[in-house]
Amino acid sequence: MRTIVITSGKGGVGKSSVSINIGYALANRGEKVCLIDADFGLKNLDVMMGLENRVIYDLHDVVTNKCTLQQILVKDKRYDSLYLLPACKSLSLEEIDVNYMVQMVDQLQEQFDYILIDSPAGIEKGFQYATGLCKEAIVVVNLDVASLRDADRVIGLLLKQGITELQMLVNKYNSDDINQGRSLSLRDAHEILSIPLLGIVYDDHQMIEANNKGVPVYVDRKSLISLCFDRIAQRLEGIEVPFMKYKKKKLLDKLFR
Amino acid sequence: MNVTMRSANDVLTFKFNEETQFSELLGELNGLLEQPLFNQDGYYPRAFFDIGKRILNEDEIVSLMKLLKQHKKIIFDGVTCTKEKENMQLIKRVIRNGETIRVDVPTLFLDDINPGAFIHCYSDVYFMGRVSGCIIGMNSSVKICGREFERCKISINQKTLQDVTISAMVTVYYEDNDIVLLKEEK
Ligand SMILES: Nc1ncnc2c1ncn2[C@@H]1O[C@H](COP(=O)(O)OP(=O)(O)OP(=O)(O)O)[C@@H](O)[C@H]1O
Ligand SMILES: [Mg+2]
Repeated sequence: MRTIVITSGKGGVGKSSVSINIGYALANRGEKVCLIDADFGLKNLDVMMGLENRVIYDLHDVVTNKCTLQQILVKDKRYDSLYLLPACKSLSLEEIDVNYMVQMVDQLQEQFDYILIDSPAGIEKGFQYATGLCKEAIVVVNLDVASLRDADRVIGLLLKQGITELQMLVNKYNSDDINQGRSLSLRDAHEILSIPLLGIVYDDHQMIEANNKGVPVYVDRKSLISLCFDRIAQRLEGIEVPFMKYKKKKLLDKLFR
Repeated sequence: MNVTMRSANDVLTFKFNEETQFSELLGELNGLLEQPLFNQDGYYPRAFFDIGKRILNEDEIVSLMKLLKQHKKIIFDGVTCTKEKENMQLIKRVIRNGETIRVDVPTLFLDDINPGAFIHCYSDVYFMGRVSGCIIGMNSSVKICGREFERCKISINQKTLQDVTISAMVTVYYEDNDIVLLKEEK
């Protein structure tokens, strides 16, 4: 059983998109997955997964004993082993006692292989809360200076909290932009963050469309993005999926600095 | 054999004879690292150095680090320090954006100083990694040494060098009311 927070510091880099599609890729491998929406932005996971009208209760109802924890879990439309624990409409996550939340996560651990927590942007309370429930983190970045600076800050904070299992995921990867020197490179990202690379996800309009339609992009098994998430899920499960050569070499250089 | 090697829990311990000249020890270590054992693909053990009662000076630590970096065979995991000596503090981790570190004793940073990190130095500092943050010498006697600076800000006693980008052994110090950057030969 693993509890992993998906975080970034900077907003809009794709935490929610990544959380959902990693959830799908793991479920596709037969894992039992629970996605926890700890993000109170406008786009909630339920909307992005097309589950909006299935959400009846939320955490507030559990806290006030109107329903059980089991009853707020929403089963995904496509994968029987994937569930969503939706964000609260009526109160913010921070208003719920942390110990209570830790207890709930403990309870969920018995029935899931993975609990993925989509953290809100920033390093304020919501972030502290989400990371406080986890032992592992996936730091989502885009190849721009602001995203990497924020991620670096976040990694420092995570390490301070004792979360040492850290991996970075580069989202919105655009090789044209990299080749033309418009954006930074994977090498730059690794130089500055110096944590292992979990994978890359291409910049693709299909992602935006999928999110808006409420049909996760992973569902289109022919798409390149779907393949990206398969590889990410494999690496999460400890299967070695090779990267392009130069990245690996750079990694070693780094270790021996 | 003045350098002996033993393995426990995936960490190699190199024990240095206390009587032997340090340069001789480095020569032996160099020979050890050329052994076939270290040429296996994917074998990159962590290494701890037991130097007994010996007191390493800064040059010796730097030359040890240089040797390890040159071979790229093992990952430095620390060195013994005896209490009574004025030892050099080692900081192994990356210093990240938003962090401020206060340095009160001579300190060797083994990894990078990232943009947005601040090092406040009341004592000499040595950097093995890339330095991109802001290094501030809090008094005129502080010495700052490093080998790779990238858009780094260095100031000593209120005098500042902006945007230092340089790839060479460099010492920065304060002399005649100004900050001096000395690039070493080799
Ligand atoms: N790989 C991608 N290619 C193209 N667009 C993407 C990709 N990933 C995410 N997006 C788009 O970027 C926008 C932000 O994505 P998302 O909401 O997942 O980010 P977030 O980090 O969760 O944001 P917030 O910080 O607001 O919670 C959305 O419009 C989404 O469709
Ligand atoms: Mg989000």
